[in-house]
Amino acid sequence: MNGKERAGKPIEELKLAGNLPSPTGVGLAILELTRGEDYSMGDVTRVIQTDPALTGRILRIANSAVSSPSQPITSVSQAAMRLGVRSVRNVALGFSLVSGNRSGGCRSFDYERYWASSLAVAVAAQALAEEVRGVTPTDAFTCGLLSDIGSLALASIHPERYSEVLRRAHVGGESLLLAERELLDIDHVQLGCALISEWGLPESFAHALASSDAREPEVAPSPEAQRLARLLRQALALAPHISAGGATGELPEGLDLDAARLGTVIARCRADWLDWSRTLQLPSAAREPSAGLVPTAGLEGAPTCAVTQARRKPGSGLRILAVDDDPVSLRLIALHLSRAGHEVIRATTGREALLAALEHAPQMVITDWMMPDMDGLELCRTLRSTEECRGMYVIVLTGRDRESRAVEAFDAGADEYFLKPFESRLLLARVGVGQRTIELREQVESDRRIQAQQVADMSVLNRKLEAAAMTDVLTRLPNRRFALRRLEEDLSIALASDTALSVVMIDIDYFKLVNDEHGHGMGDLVLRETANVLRGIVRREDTVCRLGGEEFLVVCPGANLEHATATAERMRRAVAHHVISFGYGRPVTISAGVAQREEGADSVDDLLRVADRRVYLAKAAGRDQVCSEDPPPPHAKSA
Amino acid sequence: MRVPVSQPQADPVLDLSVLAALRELGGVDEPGLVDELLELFLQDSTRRLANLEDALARGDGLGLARTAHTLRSSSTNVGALRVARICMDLEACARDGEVRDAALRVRELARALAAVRAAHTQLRRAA
Repeated sequence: MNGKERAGKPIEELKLAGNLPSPTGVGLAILELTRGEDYSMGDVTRVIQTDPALTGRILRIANSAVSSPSQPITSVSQAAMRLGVRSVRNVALGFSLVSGNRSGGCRSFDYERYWASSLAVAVAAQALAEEVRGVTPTDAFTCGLLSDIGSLALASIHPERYSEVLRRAHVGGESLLLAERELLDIDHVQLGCALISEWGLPESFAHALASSDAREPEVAPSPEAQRLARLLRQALALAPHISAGGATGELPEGLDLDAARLGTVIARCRADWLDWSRTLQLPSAAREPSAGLVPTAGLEGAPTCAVTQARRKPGSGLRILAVDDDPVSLRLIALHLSRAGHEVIRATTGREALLAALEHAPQMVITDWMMPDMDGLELCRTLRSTEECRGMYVIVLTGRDRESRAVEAFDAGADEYFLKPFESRLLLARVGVGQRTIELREQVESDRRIQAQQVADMSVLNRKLEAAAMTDVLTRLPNRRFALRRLEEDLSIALASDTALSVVMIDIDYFKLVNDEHGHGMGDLVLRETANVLRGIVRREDTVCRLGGEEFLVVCPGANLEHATATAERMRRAVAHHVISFGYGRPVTISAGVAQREEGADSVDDLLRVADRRVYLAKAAGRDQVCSEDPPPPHAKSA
Repeated sequence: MRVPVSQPQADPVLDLSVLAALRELGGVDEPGLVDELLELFLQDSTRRLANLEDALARGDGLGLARTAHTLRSSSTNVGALRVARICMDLEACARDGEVRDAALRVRELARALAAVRAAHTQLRRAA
């Protein structure tokens, strides 16, 4: 709801940049297919089946979600029947996002680690859903997997700037969200929610993301959404324990899970997470679980495995996968290739080759044609239909007796074929031709990225220009113009949907004295600091604006008088406790007036007038307080 | 049609010129290359010989031809030219469905492979 409303504009601009992490290939096909409401199970399963890797992952998750392992699910349509076609669609989308965005241009952003931790959240969410009920485990998994998608998006769209954001947050100790908003005018939670809506994923996902780091939960659009949001927050708390093997000190509290189950659940999640990491070739599985606190015996037995991390070798060589069932020939090919400076991965069967291709992401595959089980052509066809491997340059080796059938190799998707037994210099020359093609493709890709980058930079500029007209220069809060517009919009939504809406009017106490006694420099400082404190306190959907002078307005959609008063009280306390003090050590304080939409007070003017009146009541009652009601009627006063 | 009977005895068990070329390929970086390749070949061919015998017992002509084909290529690579020649004949018999001839060739192949093994051992001792 709010995520969609508010980030609606930026998303349009960001899309122009073409750099958003987006589903590609099969994911895109699924997205297109399921935009409407009337897609069938057959449509979805047919599309998914064209990608063997994706099919495998769907089957995995389907089987992990079923209680009776005696009847394993072996086809996508079975999975769709068991899990529901929507769940399957969401999982497929989630994974097509993983596979398409495994690396990127933002130097300070650890892409592999990002996916490893998203996966930990996914696994935790799924496990929690199985424990507490009320949320579909598969949906919980997908929502967890996408829980931090906004960060990935920002890193993809603005690689350079986002490096700076991360530097400020990690080295400078700034709040990540604030740094994002300052440098990019949008934060990862807003963008994440907008993307979720954009991809047509359930609104409950967006709601869960939006309330994932809120100090208090947002008003949920439905009970399901509320449960999912609660579950995601717990999964986020649990995730670090899963990726660290339970060794990150204190276990989280306040889970919907009794302490006795917690150890078992973490252990199971960890095993699950290592398994998934292996399937997706994330380096996480190779990381040693750190020694230290091991809460349950189950964890000690958690499997660790060595996955060779895919490395991109610097320098001129390619990473080549060589496939031949004849070990002598394979050894010789590998020898020639590595002598020529290439990095060689070897496989002796088609299946082994497929796994190696997924794991090591080679730029080139050189495969023998004749092999038992899966021959070179079948391997080639499978690679071409697998998202991650589609772009690999494939050379098929064949005996002279099959020369006349070379066209079959090209039909299967080979880029080149080569006769065996081979003359090494000729083979290397062919590899060289392939290398130029690969480099050309990579160059085109990088040019495209640079262009997209320029468009993205332009869109930042546009957003900044527009934001500037709506922003107060001193405090960087939205200005009066924006405040009134926002209040009007939120009010009309509240009226239309008959939901609550409140405003908090805030005035800094004795501000005139500050200016008079300490000069305007001090006055500006107090305004800025107060603005920062307020900004840090409110819920995500609230908007803090500077109305002018020392006056601020907070718009709280969905909040009734009681909620808004609680928020105002938190703001009052936070400002009073903030270190800024002046004069004789007297701290800066605020007085606040709260008003809610109600019968007889349902226009912008009404709300502002009531709130304003209550600010004065708070001032009159001694300042540094919140007033949310009018004085009792005169006859009560005199009694 | 009967395949013309070739004279496998005329081909060397191990062609020293092929081995010399491989040794040169290994160079100073990999002085053990020839030994390693022969070892790989012998392991692989033992397995394939068993496959050939199975295929023969099942009367699986296509299986015979395929295995013979692969073995021919690896034997050529290590200079086991007699094995390579027998494999070529075997492939032809298998494709033509000459089962009796194929059986003969498989026995011949076993002997030729044993000879390669012996030659390899001898080479090792000499080194």
